Amino acid sequence: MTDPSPAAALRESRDDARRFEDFYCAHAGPMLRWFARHVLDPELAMDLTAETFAQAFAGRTRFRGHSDGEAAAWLYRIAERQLTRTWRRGRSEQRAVRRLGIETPKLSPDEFARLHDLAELAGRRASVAQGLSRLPRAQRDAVHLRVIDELTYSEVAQQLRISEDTARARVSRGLRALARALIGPPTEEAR
Amino acid sequence: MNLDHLEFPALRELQGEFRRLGAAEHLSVGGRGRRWGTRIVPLAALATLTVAAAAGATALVISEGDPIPPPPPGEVSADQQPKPGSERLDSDLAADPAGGLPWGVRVARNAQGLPCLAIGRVLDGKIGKVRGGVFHASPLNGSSHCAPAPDSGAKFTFDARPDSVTGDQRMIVYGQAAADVSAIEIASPSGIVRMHPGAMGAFIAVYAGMPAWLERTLVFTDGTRQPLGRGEFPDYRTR
Repeated sequence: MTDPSPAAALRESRDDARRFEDFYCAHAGPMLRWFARHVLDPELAMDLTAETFAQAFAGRTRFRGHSDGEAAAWLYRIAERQLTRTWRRGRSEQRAVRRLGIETPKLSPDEFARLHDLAELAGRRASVAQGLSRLPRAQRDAVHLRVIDELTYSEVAQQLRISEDTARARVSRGLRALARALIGPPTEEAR
Repeated sequence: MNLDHLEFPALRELQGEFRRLGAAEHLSVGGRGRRWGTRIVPLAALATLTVAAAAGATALVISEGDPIPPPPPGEVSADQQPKPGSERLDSDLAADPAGGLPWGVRVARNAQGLPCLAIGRVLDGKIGKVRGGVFHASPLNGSSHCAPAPDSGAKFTFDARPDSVTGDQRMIVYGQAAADVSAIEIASPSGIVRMHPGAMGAFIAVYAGMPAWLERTLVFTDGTRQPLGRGEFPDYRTR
């Protein structure tokens, strides 16, 4: 009889890749919400969720645990690494998604709104505004142009009369500082 | 609060992707596991097409809103200000992989005569952004970058950005070619795109996501070809 636990699904997926789907089902929803709360952006959260599970699928033979807690911890270590890289680069990594040929689905407007509500993003707008106001002027301007006005790094650089590398660095530093100010380390509840 | 993934069709679709991967791998290895490092399925097709017809087709379903306001006076340095009336849509149009309005390059000139390039979605010969199904034309000031044109060959810009329509990641390769270049070819895992520079040398290609690699070749008017080498993700420039 098949063990229904997520840890067993992950462990058994090393020999039978079809079992990975059960592991995915156990964690996909909470993972999407966890990312949404951290990046404040449902679409980016979906991309990061896809990449995290793609990396988990690709690296599942490295899982050595037995309990569900160990399986969750293993998965969220991958997720946290994605988060760190996203803040550093200013965009999500999609290496494993591309390598596996995964088509990341797009959220419908209804899903977007639902996730927005579940992740309590609306209630955090004030915190975002406050966090932005506390950033150094140079970082605040760069984050605003890049994230709010959706300018390219090249355009941000032109507007601020700085080099593109400097623009990238300011946006990246600003987003990291904003995330640190708004969100603490991941919690068990969020998982 | 419980968030069941079944509540989200997108997560169910993603579940289908892992079901497909699991089944494909199970079949390919006879039920035994395989390790990271071997390709399981071909990369998803990345479509980049150069089409002019797309502009007219999609214009039917896009409305035009107010233009994007230019930045306040004084915020753009004089050398980055194109002269009003000098702008033209110069490149061939490039289809977006997800459809909708095509992409193009606008070229203008500043007071010193330097070309000023700007890219965006194209509607009725104007470049701009689409937000909420409404097209907003980009201003001349604040959206262009003015720099000397190449004397020979071509200058490339690699611009990774989320698309304002879908939020999907796009890699946009654009630039300006000198008069001695008749075509630019870019090979990628999805195939080869061949672009012919506009009257002022502009060209543009749009990719879904970030291609694993891009290999550029210049084709000169005398028929000779100059490979520029292969650039790998995430920095496609070649040394």
